[in-house]
Amino acid sequence: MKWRKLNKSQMKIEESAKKAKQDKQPFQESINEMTGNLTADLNLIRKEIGHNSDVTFREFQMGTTGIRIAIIFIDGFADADVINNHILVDFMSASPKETGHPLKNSSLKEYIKNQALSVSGLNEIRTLKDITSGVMFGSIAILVDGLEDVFLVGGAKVKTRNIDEPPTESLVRGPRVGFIENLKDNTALLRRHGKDQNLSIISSQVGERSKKELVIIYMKDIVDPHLLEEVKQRISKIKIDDVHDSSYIEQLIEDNFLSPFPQVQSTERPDRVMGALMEGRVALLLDGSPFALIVPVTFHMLLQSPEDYYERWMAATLIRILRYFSAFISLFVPSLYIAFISFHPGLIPTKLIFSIAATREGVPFPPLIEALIMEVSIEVLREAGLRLPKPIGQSIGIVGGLVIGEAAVQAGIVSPIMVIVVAVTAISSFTLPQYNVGVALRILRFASMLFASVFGLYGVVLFFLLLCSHLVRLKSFGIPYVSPAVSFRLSDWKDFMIRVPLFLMKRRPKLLHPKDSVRKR
Amino acid sequence: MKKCKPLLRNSFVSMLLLFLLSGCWSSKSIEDLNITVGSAIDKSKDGKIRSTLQYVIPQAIGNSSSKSPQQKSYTNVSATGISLEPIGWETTLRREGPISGAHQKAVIIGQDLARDEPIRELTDLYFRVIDLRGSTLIFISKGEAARTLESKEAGVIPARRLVEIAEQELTTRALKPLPLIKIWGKSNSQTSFLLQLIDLKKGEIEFNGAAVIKGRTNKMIGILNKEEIEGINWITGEGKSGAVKAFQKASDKPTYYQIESMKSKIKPHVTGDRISFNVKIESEGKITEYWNPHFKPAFKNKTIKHIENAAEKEVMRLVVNTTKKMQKEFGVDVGGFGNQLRIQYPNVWKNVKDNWDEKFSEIPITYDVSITIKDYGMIGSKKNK
Repeated sequence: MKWRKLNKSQMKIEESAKKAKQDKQPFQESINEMTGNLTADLNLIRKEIGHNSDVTFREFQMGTTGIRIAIIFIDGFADADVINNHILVDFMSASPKETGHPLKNSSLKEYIKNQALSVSGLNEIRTLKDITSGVMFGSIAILVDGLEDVFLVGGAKVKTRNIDEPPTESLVRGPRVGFIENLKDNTALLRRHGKDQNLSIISSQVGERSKKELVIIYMKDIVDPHLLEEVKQRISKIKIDDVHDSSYIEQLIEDNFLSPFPQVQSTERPDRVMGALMEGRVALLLDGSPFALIVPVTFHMLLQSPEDYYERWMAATLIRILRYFSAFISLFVPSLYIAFISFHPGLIPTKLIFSIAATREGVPFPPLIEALIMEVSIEVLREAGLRLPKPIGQSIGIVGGLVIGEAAVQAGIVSPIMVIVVAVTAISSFTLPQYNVGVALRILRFASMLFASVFGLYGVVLFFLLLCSHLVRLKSFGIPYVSPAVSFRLSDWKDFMIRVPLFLMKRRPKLLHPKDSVRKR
Repeated sequence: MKKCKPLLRNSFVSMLLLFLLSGCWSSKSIEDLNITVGSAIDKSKDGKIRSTLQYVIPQAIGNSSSKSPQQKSYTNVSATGISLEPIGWETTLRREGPISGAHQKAVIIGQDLARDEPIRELTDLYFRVIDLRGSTLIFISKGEAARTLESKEAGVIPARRLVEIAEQELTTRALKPLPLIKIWGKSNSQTSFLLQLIDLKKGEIEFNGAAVIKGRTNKMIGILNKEEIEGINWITGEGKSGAVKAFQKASDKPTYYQIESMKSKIKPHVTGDRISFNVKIESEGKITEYWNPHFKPAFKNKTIKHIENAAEKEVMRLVVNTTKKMQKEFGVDVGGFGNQLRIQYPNVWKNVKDNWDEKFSEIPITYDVSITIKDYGMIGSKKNK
């Protein structure tokens, strides 16, 4: 492994050399300040970004004064409404009062700023670099002949979709609101959802090349400062060219990349984020991604749905227990089947063993191969159904589920009991409210099947112990993953496998060390 | 690339090898197993032991499409030898697949063999083999035991039918089933006990009486008939349901009392060297049949008392009859008297336990029977006014 280290150190040297080069460039660019001569300035800018087909230059004269003005923007990206209804109208109809002196430099600037331009966001910049980057990010640059300052107006107008119910986390009862791709809309959603002055939204940038805005959201007077510090530190260490989606952030800040379990929760629901913030967790939102990230995450959160709090406590508790049960089923039923069939026929009730033995008669494969055939084919079907367009996806389900299953039984490749086992497993894995937990359990299911086929029930128990020891060791941002079970805190069990009535949940979960622990008086 | 850590590499390779072991050493697929549900032990003509194993044919039971109605759902395989272990291996020469005893439910021992060999020795293999359950029931067959594992009815597994009849405990005319694990204790403490006797009627099984196993020799010495079993059940209070004749004179015409619950308490009394027992029997139930030739109103207390008295007398007759048989004819205690003495007078028991069965024949036993009728059935008194 030594060569790798060597390589790394070499790379570091190269990197630092590159950095030095990069450092030089802005220095050169900073010389390129605007001169106030419109023709010269425009030529300079054209040379820099004029080769882009979508960069538009528009020259006109200011009202009756005859002062030349040019605006530069990206067609389709910059807000066309601002250009047409404000900038062009304002300037073309501008008629400065005759004061005697011709408008020049400072007076011209003041006039534009104070009387002519009717837009809210207005920046004055001078350097070429600022202009190009401003234009590239969707602003409109206004160059006025005779002025060294360039006005940068407005921001990008991005086409966004409507705020819909998130398709991956639909509820029977609860707000039908989901995040969208626009960060500002998302933070506004959160503000509207949680009307608390302590809701803090701190902005930072990630991405070396494509700089994207990432906001850290927390409750100022609830969150544990150490946790917040840890989150900030991990985010500051992200050095990557571009983050396409918040899942990049998730993978770059998680604790253990070898674990099959997700250590960051992702959700599209503002109410879920608000709930987590109120418990003292920290949420992250990335511009361009509808998925918010919640840290730290504990295992029981992944088996919960916001609906658990919207339903009455008895129904919620029942459904929660049901979810734990189905998680167990989706993890262990195929392996238990294998273990019982091939190692422990004595553990099956007498009447059942007769019917199982009868259905397995004529199946040419050992139980493991039989189970693998069915499990793999149902995973393939599920994946196929997911990738296909919706109308075809359904027919794939029918073809796969009914036709292949029935035909496989008829052909004697698998036994009908196996089909039941696989179907029960698949359906119970759908009850898990978070997709990525379902995937984790799918991976582990195959491992547990292999254990079962080698050691029988003993192997299944071994696998379970292995899994438990991994889970107990796992931490998410310093919080034990399976808390409050381990490390044991009885007071947090009120909102764990059961959900006690709301009036009993008087305190926030202790495991997150909230500053303000009182939830309800 | 430089070499990996040997530990890492070795463990990785061995993990990969593990996956190749998909059909593993102790793995036996259930469709290959011969699942035995019952076995019968007989004396063969040449004085050896003949053991018959009953295998289930799952295809004939399961609702698979290949099922043919004529196919029997079981097959019996028998072989002869001096003990059970070699016989078991002998049967594997005749039928493919390993034997699985985990679902063995019943062992039937032929009367001839049970009278000659101790039960403990005959059932030793069943105790020792690990996958056999302690809940396996032991029966004695009046005739040839192997024939009780046969049935002409389609779809019936005889061994399972035996067990199901035994476990339902519907009438006091059958014994409470005795599992293997309890027989072990009784055999070792040399306690006498009863085993359910199986008879054949027109080729089908019938529960008919009980075999008496003498504690000292652990061999069968005689038979109690169904009526005497009733007496045993009243003494031990272990019956769950059944009926008792509740009329004395023939002119009263049939009246029957149905047992809903029964309780009995055996109380030993020791004064000096003299041991005596008093048995309190209590039962509650209802009238289920009352031909009532004299049109007596059933709601009247006097009538009820009359019926109760008749039933009490009948129960008394049953228990006294059984006691006489135990004490005088066989000289064994199969009613659990010795156990009560052991519990309540351990010191006395120490002195008498060595020849308890002989002592027991001399001990006076008194009975108190009280029967309460709680329910008269659907017919009240008005109809008969």
